[in-house]
Amino acid sequence: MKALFVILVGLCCVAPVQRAFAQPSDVEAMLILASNEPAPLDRRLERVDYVLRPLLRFETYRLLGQGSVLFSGSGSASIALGDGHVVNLAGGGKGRVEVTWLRGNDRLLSTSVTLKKGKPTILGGVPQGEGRLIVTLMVK
Amino acid sequence: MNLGRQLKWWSRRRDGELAPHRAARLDRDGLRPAVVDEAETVWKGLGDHLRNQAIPTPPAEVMWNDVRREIRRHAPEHWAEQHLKRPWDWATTTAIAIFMVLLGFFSLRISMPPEAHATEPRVAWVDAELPGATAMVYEDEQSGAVVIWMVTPADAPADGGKS
Repeated sequence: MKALFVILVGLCCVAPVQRAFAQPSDVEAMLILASNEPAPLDRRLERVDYVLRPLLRFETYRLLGQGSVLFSGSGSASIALGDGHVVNLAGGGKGRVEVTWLRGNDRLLSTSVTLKKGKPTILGGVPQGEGRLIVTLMVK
Repeated sequence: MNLGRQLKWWSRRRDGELAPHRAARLDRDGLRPAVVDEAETVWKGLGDHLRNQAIPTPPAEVMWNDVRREIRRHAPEHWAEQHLKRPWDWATTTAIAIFMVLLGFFSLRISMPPEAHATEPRVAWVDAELPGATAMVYEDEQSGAVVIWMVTPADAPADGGKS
């Protein structure tokens, strides 16, 4: 009985520690072209479209590429999004992630941000044609 | 072999307990004096007599009480009496409990997602690395999204960008 109690309490206490240190998260990135040219809704963007529209107010969002990676928060990872666009992730301490958005060898944007599960991080504003390129980062 | 030993051996043979080599010796030597026959008659009569005796059986309730008493006698002591009868056992248990609570508290703090720190902004810094570009940061409370938007010199006021 006593041993069972100790084991149960121990498990309750140790489980969060293990979760905190060892659980990698699936980070998904999307490269999106936002413009005001009329086009049908890109169904592949349903998960982020509802966030993008009220915030950015472009007419059209088109998915150009996407990728995902398992990221532990303390290491580093890269997500290739096509057309030479790459997003690098690196643990920045205190739960922050240093995100670098590159096109080929050119760095477009660097930031240190806290990625939240289910709450997208939107990087954008890179001109492309008549529109702007956007990268969304989602922790699943 | 003296008579006493012969009787002993025949008695064991009757009970099936005589070693084979001794049984062979009895057969080989033909050792069976008349007194053995008499003894066997007595042994048989005694066995019949005992088998015919009524064996007194206690009532079922008495037997059941005996069983229960034996179960109680062999059962382990009560947990508390067995494990916590000494003061230091209580102290150890209390120390373990306090340790577990503290461990749980600190592990909860460690495992808290960064979003728990509501006062900290999600974006620590931004470098807009396009020539002449600057960056705007906006955190939307409703959706929880954070927008990091580059404003480039090419941006026109009516380009539909970040509003």
